[in-house]
Amino acid sequence: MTTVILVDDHELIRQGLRRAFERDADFEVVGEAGTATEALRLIGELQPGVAIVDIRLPDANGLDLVKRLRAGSEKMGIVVLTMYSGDEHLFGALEAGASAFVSKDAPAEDIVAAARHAAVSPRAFTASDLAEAMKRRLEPTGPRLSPREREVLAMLAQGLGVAAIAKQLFISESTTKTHISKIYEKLGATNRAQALMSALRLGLIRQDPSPDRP
Amino acid sequence: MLGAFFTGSAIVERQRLGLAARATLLLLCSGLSLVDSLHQANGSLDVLGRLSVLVAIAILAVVAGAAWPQSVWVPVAEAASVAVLVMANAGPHQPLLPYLLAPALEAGLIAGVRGAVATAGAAAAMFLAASPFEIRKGQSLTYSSTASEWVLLALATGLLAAWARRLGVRTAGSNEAYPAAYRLMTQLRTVSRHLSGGLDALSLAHIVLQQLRDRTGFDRAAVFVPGPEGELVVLAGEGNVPDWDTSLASDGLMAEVWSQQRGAARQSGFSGTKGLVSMALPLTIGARTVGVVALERRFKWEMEDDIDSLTSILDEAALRIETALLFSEIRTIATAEERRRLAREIHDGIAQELAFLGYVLDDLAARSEQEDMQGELRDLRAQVTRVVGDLRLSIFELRSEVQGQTGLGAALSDYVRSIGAASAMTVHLVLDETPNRLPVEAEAELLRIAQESVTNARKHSGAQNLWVTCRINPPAARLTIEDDGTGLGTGRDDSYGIQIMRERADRLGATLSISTRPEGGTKVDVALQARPVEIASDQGAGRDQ
Repeated sequence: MTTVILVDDHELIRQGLRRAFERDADFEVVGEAGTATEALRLIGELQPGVAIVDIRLPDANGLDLVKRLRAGSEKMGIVVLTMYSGDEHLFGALEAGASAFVSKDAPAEDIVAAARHAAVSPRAFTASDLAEAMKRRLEPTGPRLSPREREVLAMLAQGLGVAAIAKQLFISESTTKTHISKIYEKLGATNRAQALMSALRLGLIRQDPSPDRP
Repeated sequence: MLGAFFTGSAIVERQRLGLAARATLLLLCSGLSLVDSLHQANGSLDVLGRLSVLVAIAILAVVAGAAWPQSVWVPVAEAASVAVLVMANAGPHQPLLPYLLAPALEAGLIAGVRGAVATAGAAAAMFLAASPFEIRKGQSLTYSSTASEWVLLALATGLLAAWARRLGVRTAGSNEAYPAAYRLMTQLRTVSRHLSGGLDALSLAHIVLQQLRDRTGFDRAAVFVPGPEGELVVLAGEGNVPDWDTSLASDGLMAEVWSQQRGAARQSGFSGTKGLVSMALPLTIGARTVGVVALERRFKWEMEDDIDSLTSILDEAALRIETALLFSEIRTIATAEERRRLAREIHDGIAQELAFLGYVLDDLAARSEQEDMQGELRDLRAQVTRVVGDLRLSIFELRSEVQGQTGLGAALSDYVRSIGAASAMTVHLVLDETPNRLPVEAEAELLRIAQESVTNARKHSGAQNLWVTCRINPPAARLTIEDDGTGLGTGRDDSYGIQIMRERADRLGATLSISTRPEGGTKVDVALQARPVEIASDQGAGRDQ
């Protein structure tokens, strides 16, 4: 039997989750906490198999609590619960050392399933949306350049100077310089060579200079 | 600025008091002199002469006081002159002595105890210096006691004034500021109720451009104000101005005008183009630059000194535009705060309660023995999940905002991405931004319009695909949101949303069109445009030849 502690400042949520875990013979809810402080005390005392932690707590960030719990124990399962959307919370939970990430609109069974997973392999992160989130994270590789910036970058790769680029694009030299400094900024570069290196690495330009110049 | 205003009004108050004191004392002295002249042998002619000199001294003192309002030397010199007048020409002429109170009062108000002592001292010194020559025999004793009485009275008046001044300085700082601020806020409230979009910086900027167009022609012009990252952003423009050099770090004309606070012109366009002339004028309030107005055209300006007169018509506009910008900033801050509060309220309230209901339904379904009941409970559970999912997105929407570092493009793509994650729609996003940004308020309104139309598509259209296109080219911008759903229905569900979108678009001065796509689905199109250059400007330019 796996012992569970519920950490959420909303009593109703704790009540609902307790019902769900009580239906399952593999789990026993041994404690509930409404704050991070209380959670740390209870968890230190009871050493549960799994902690269910809301990402937002009145006295601390839930993810900070997760980090402290993970630092204290490698073996405890930690399931992060949230009402927020946005991938940054999912990746935040992953980085804090959580075992699983579940949103609060998911059925109670999902949370129990996540707790089951967490109890068995606390260091193998899982989330229902993980694959999609990873795809979204990788999709626009790092910086997003505007179409005009991509044009300017391509010309920089061809070795054109500021004046030549300005002339070809029918824009002023100062505008061209602004585009270039934005490109440097987005690519984290301080000069043309660095910018071109990281653009190559990110696949923004190809190795062979494109022959189709207008 | 307010501090200077109060000091200014305090000076006016003090000058009024000085004038009143002088007038009263002149009347008193005249009365006393006339009464005195009845008992004197040397007639009224002398008396009138002395009185005219006293009046002249008083007028001189008032004029000099207006020229050097903070100088204590004016009342000191005034007191000394009066003392000389009292002694001159077979003095002393005691009826003129009361006038000494006037300079003492003023000196006390200007410079406190120091001023009072200096004025009384100057008068006393003059009396002492003149006494051996002028005093007629036999009068010496009465004279010196009367003179010293008046010198002491003048000193006392000056000290009283110094005391009053200290009280005044203390109260002017605290009490007067409140009524003034209150008046200002009341005016703002009145104005904001009359204008559809509150105190509208955009319209004010267009009025400025119109005024400049009337005074001198231009092909392209724009009003720039500092943006979130310290660069200049277009507040309002006529003609297409995106490639102008607005960097404050460069050696461009706008940067020069911004730092020098003086209008300037160049024999080239703002993007360095030959054959154009450009002019930039500062929008200043006191010693602060709050914006730059830039004009460009093909033919050279008529007169160089035009710059100063053009700059002068901007002074009032600067104050108005700055106030409007502050007002809209306050509104933005208040709105953002309210949105965060709403997000917290939904997050901690109804969202959690519905989530709990979901868990209860899960429990009931798990315990139920009857299969049909289980099925119904699962269906109900799916509905609750959907509603909680909607609430989660609402919370996200309320929390996402345009900020200093996060421009419209970044905020929009974050939002659209999370919609893609949370709904069945495939989202296609096209972003095209120039390095220059729109004013933050405009970005915020555009983001809200996009959110509203995306929400409509998600909730009501059953669309498979969503296309979001955003092109920003300040001061122009265009945002389109298309879906392949069921299209505009009766409009009952979302009419409130559409109304709010229209209000937002109006506030921006943008056009909003909502139509049904030929292929099916809905298209929302928001266009924020630079005002097209009128043909009149060409004629205006031609006239200058």
